[in-house]
Amino acid sequence: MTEGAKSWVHYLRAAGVIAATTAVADGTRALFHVPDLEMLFLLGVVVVALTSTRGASLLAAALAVLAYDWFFVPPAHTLDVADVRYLLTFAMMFGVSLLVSTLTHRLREQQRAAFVREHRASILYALTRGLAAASDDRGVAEACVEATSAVFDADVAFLRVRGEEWTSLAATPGAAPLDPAEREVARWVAISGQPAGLGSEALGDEPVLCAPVRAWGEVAAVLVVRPRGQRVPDAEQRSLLEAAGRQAALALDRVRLSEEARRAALRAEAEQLRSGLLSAVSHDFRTPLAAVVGAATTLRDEGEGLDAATRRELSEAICEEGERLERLVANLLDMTRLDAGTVEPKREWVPLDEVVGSALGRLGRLLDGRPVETRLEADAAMVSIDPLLVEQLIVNLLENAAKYTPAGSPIELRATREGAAVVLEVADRGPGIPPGDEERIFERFRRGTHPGVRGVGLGLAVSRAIATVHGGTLVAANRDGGGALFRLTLPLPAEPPPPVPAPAEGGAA
Amino acid sequence: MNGTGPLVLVVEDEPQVCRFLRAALSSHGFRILEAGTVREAEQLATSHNPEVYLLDLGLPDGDGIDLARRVREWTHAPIIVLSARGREEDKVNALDAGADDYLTKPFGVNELLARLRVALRHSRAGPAEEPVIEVGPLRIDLARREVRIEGREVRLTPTEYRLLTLLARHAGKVLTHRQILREVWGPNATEAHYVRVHMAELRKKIERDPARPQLLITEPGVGYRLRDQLEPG
Repeated sequence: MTEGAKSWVHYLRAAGVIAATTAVADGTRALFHVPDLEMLFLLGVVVVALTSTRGASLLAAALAVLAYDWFFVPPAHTLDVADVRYLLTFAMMFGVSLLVSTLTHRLREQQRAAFVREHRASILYALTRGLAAASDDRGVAEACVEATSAVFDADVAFLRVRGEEWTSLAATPGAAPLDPAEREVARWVAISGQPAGLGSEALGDEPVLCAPVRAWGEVAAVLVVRPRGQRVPDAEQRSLLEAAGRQAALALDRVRLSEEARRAALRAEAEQLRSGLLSAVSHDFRTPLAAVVGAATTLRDEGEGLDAATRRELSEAICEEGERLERLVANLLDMTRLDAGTVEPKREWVPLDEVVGSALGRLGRLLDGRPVETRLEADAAMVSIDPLLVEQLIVNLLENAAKYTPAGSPIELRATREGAAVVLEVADRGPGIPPGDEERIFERFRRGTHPGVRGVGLGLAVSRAIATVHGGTLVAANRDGGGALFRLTLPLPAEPPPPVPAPAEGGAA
Repeated sequence: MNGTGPLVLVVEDEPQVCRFLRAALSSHGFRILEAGTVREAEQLATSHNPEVYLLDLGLPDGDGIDLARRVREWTHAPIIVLSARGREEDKVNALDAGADDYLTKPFGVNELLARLRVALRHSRAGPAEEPVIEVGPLRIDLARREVRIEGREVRLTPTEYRLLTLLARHAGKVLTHRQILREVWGPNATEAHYVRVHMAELRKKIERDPARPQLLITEPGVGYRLRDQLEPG
């Protein structure tokens, strides 16, 4: 139904009301012989003014004056007026009609405005609530699209703009992608910073309406609305879309600020770690370095005078301390990489004994004179791990065992399958872990309190970090009968793939 | 540049490492050329045609891997790459680009000399194949397709046999997973775990303690090496 049709009904109704009033007035006069019937007409005019448009109420006033004059003002059935008194009555009818209809109209306007305000507030409220829950740009985009799709009964897309790069962060599900002309509107909006498209001042003939999302001084995104059917958004809807754009901009700002705050906190933490590391490292590097420099200068300056055994001992000291420094550096590197969160384990299917074997090979002389019993069960043979990281983990556990237990005491290494996980245990017969310290030993820069033991206290922290990036756990406990037990649990993501024999000879080589 | 031994081109920009290499190599009769940059190395390589290269991967004016590739275009002289732990991808890339072996810094003089000896032996022996390869307790008779450990015959699957003979022909030298896959499984194979699984089986058959291998050595993140008999145990 169009606006014109509606007002036509109002006018018809006004005429009807006055006709009915005339009929009632005529009846009343026949029955009771009442002289002043203008009050009845006034009532009719007020009824129309209260319920119809202003035009219709003016029509009613005019008709009332005419009907009253024609039928009831002597001389009857003419428009002549015998008594000047009636002119005042006519003026009053017009005046009351005008007054009442103006008041009614104003009231209705206010009501409508209140309704629109409330509607708009509730939409924006829903949007803000959605936006508040968003933790990243995509979340903001989704909240925005969801809220505006409902309001406009339209397909909505949220395009992020970064220089020349456009990314559709969210769109109404099932919406057709933007065609080149529609993209052009979005581009215009991004450049001009003004809303444009369907129904607005700029590019009003295009099929989509676009509003900019201006964050930190530039257009960070464009909201694209494509109404379903032929409806053109009105000024109110356009301003609502702009408001949605402003809300989205605030949310983008907030997301960016909270992201920056999070990064700053991380940086501060990393900074703290770094300074802690530095003080620990500078102390613990100097000890082996002092031994190296001391032994080397002795060899250089006194070499001639030393007997063969002493020379050999000094050379050994240099080699051992050098190797210790090497392991220290390896752990430091791993720790920094694991801390930075940049380590994504490069998982491969590897036989566990291969990893254990190269860990044992790397420790070499450190395990000399110690019985190391390895028992790797067949169903724990293949594991999906990053072989380099897990090798470092095993090296650290074995080095730890060697460091804290008396020379010559045995170390056991066992692997078993437990459900969907492989469990690797490194056990020793040393003094064990002080009760209550089972968790604390995994903290950084923590060392056992055994005399003569050196190290930065990074080994176990690195080991646990490696277990964690594999989705596994590493815990420590004391064994029955004395000694410490470290238990590494690594979940297996799937069954190991079957071994594939080489193709028949001649096919490949 | 004295002595009469093989001529080594040392491409290394760290003076302290050069000092150590100079002392170690000259005391074992090697003749030494030194280059601190890729440019110097290329000039010395073309003018002196060294018998073996020791190549550091982190050079100030370019990439050691590219240098290895260019050198490999015109000479078969062995190239041994020097690189740090944690740079396994570099090592693999260098080996795939034509380098023959690598040493992880820090390394000892024994390791250095062993690698050099193996590399020179392979480059001098040429492609002629010996019918019997012996490494410690391991004896492979290629003509009779027979493998013995301490005189006792070991039964291998065809895949294991090809894996073992491949490593044995390059005894002492590292082979990357990719090189092994290509030689044994064909050019299209990409799954490194094929190699690992069969290597684990092979170890069970020829190693005394498969968890502490003495013959089939894992080079973490790079590949495998069959230990050479010249290398001290």
